[in-house]
Amino acid sequence: MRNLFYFLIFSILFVLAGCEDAIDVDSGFTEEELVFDAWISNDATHRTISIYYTQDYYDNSPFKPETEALVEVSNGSEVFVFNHTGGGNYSNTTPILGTEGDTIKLKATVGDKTYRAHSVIHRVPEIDSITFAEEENPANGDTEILAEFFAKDFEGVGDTYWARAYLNDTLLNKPSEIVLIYDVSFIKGSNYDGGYFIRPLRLAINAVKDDGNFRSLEPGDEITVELNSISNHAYDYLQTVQEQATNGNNAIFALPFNNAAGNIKDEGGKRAIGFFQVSKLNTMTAVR
Amino acid sequence: MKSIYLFCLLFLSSQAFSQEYTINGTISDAENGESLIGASVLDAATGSGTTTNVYGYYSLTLPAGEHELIVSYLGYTESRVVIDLDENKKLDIDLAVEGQQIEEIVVTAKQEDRAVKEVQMSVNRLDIKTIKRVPSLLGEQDVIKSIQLLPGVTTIGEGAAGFNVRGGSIDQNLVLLDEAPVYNSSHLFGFFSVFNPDAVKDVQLYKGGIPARFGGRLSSILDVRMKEGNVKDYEVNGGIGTIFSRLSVEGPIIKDKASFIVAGRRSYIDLLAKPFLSEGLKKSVLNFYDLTAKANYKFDSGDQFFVSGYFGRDNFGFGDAAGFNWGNQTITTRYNHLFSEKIFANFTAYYSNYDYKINFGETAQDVFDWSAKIKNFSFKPEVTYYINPNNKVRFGGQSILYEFQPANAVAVTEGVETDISLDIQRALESGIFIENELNITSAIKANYGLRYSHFAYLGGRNKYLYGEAAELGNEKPLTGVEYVEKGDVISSYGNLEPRAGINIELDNQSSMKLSYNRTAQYIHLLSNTTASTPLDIWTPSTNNIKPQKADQVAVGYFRNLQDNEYELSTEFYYKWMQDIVDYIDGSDLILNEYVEGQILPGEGRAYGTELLLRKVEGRLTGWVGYTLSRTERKVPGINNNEWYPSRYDKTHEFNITGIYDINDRFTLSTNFIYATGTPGTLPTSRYTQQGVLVPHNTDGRRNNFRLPAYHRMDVSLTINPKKSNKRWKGEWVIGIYNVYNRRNAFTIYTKQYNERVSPGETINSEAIRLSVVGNFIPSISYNFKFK
Repeated sequence: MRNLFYFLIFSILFVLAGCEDAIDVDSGFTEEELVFDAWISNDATHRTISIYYTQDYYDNSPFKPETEALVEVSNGSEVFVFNHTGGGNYSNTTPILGTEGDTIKLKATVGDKTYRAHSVIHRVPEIDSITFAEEENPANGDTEILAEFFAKDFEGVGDTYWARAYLNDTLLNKPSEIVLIYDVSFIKGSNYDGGYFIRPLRLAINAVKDDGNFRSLEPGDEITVELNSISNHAYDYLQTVQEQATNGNNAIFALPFNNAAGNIKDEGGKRAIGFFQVSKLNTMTAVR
Repeated sequence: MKSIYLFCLLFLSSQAFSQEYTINGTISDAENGESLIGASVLDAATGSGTTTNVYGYYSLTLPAGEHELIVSYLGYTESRVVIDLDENKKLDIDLAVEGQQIEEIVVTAKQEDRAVKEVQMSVNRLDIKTIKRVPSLLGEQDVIKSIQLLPGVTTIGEGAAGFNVRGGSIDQNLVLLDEAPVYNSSHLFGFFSVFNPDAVKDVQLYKGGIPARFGGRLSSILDVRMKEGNVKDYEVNGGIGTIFSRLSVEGPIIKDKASFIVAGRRSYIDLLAKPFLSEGLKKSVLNFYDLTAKANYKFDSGDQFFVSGYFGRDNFGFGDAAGFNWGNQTITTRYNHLFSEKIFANFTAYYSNYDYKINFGETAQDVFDWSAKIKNFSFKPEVTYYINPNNKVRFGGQSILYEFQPANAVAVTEGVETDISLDIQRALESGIFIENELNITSAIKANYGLRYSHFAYLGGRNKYLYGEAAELGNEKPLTGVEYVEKGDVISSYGNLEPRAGINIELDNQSSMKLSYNRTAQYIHLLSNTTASTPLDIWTPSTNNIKPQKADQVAVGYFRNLQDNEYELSTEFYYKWMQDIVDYIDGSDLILNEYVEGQILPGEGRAYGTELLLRKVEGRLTGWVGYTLSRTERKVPGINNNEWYPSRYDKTHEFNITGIYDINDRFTLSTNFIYATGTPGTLPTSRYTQQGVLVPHNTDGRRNNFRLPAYHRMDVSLTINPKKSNKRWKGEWVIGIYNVYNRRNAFTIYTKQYNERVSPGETINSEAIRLSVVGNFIPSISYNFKFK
């Protein structure tokens, strides 16, 4: 989001002469590493933890799953076992893992190594409404019908949220569709706090087309917004994921490459790849 | 002890032996009265002499009696004046351009040998006539792009703002326009520079051996001097180019006493495009312009007063929805005063400002207005004492009062307004220096000096205290905030900066030079993108950010060949940098109150050799340059705390620039550049999180691959019409940039294909080569001069 300015401007410039070509690159990949994809919710909405291994960046085949892991999640008083359901995916169907303020712990044993992480369930605001309106696209002059969701940040600096949107039941999960919210805005460190999320975030639940513009909604389109509470660390992590996955859009203003640093560590304190997060979420659906 | 004795002896020597008198004055162009910088004035009999300073002033003290003075300057007819020295005399000399019949073509019988004789090394000089002949992108003559064709100066790539000197980052260059710093030297990000070639007189870039009179940046000083304006006749210059149209007017206010120049440029793509835009885009804005102006007045006493200014702006807008503009403003006033024939003083006061503004939001319900600024005022006295032809002392000082406004921001969401501005930062930077240029023997000359700089970060705002980061390279935790009263100092730093250069003449055509400089830098550009953006803000050194420091040694061999027709130089340098500024992973550098906790200090080193062969006379002029270099950084928390090549490291850089005067109607210019690709970072492995492909680098190395080599050739042809009208002179310039259509990579990046996938499904990825200039770019422009 914060690179919106450069992107807007560079896209104009680029028309002048620039060009992009797909090329072959040798990644120099040598070492597979264990990955956790463990973004779950305290209710039963998201309950899959995936464990698998990294591969060559340009290798488009499925990942090698880890099928022999022992995965446990606990809330201090109860332990929930996540069972392997195939393909390195581990699930549990308990209705509630914990409530707001609880610290949820992950323990995963893979071979002779044990990995641990913990996550606090943070507060999340209700979604007040989803509205639809005609918008003129400033970049090309087209008129679009877009959805806008309204929710109010809590008073107090440091609430971080992740809004996941679904268009007609399809999760909008292009890298550019990750909607990260730091209090009211996307400007960490600004102390901008309390009140309705700023407009660029409210509109960011719309699907992004291949050309970078929002897809205009058709009559009958259904939009679902799921607002997840996440930790500040998870916010930083997802921001890095998004920045690195969309860094090419920044063209000459690219950010330096860096690995997203997660919260899962082995007993020796070595960081594993991936993140463990337990969110509380609120959902709203609207049909145009 | 011995050297002090020698020094005293030299200091007194000439006074002791005979009666002496001083000749002083200015050397100017006979046609328009522009003073000439670096013109040489020599006593024919003894060979002792001096050169004019940046105001064209010289002072030469010789024994009583008759002397023949030889006054010369590159591209001008040498002048010989016989003078009977029986008292102090004032002598202003006008030199005529040689080969006047061929406009702007330089033919001289005997070239000066400044490169060999002067103490100063590691300096790149380009006169504006050469800059105007170098082929350029879209035919826009460009001071900074031309400087980049000389050894030791590089850029990350096309479109990137600024330039890198001997392994320094772009904020380590002090870019001065008539002594006022220009904080962002680019239009349209980095495609064009802010200097209007019609208003520029002289450009010098100090890459090393930086004299004590300059301070404030680690790596270089780009000293751009504006023309004073024709003091004899009115003159209009202009041009219609692909990007800009230009117009300048200059002339006498009082003939031979006072003159002015006003020069403006404006881009006009938007004007041309407007009729073709759809209704929705009609309100779009894309333009940039600059206005440069100067006036001067010469008093009968020889004193002179100058006032000059620059105002430039880049504007982008999408109707009411979004707007973005930025620009520099500078105003400089200067007063030259002669305390005596031997004592020249200059007093400079300037104001400089760089600011940008951004706004979003069509309705008053949801608005985001944001601006940032760096303002400064400075006063700078400098005195030169011309003791005798072998000994010159300069001393002076400078004070700069900075005001940083990192963010003035107001956000409105659903009608509720919130001010999220960051507090203003103020600081005072001061420096004093003394510099002595001394001819120790007829073959050994030295220029040594000392600068003391001091920086105070001023109160009237919060001071932030940070603890140790949990892990190396992480954000430092805030441990406290204290309010520091106005008038108190939050933190202060002082540095002694010794500077020295020595020239040992091996024979009449060759010399060996050595130099050392220490430099300190107290303000830093916070920028973590590949190319700097106009949004990057400057920050002062604070209690958490230390000043950057550098030491550089350089040694060089200089030789002139074939009666100074060719100049050959080779230099080796080594530079160490301390407390250079880097950032934590995922840093937020703008609108962040706690940005000081995200800065990682590091060290840097840069070394290399530069070779330059210049042909300065004849029909064919130009140069061949080669640089072999390395620049590396080591920042705890980055690249596993090991050394890594910086983003602008280029092992080899080779350059040919040739300007050939076919006849008096046609000039053909060409340049060819070859450079090793710059390093970048690419992922080794992949994984996904919730259906998003994440690039990952197993060993965490920064800059783990190199882009393919960069090479490019440009040509341009200048055509003067057959019969030029006496008052109207026009020329066509036809050029092609990137003649053989190479797609040089600016960067290579990776991405997942555009499709949306469910968590668990496979994702396709690819590597993309981004070329900013993807094709050859032809251009045509018309320049004119009217008198």
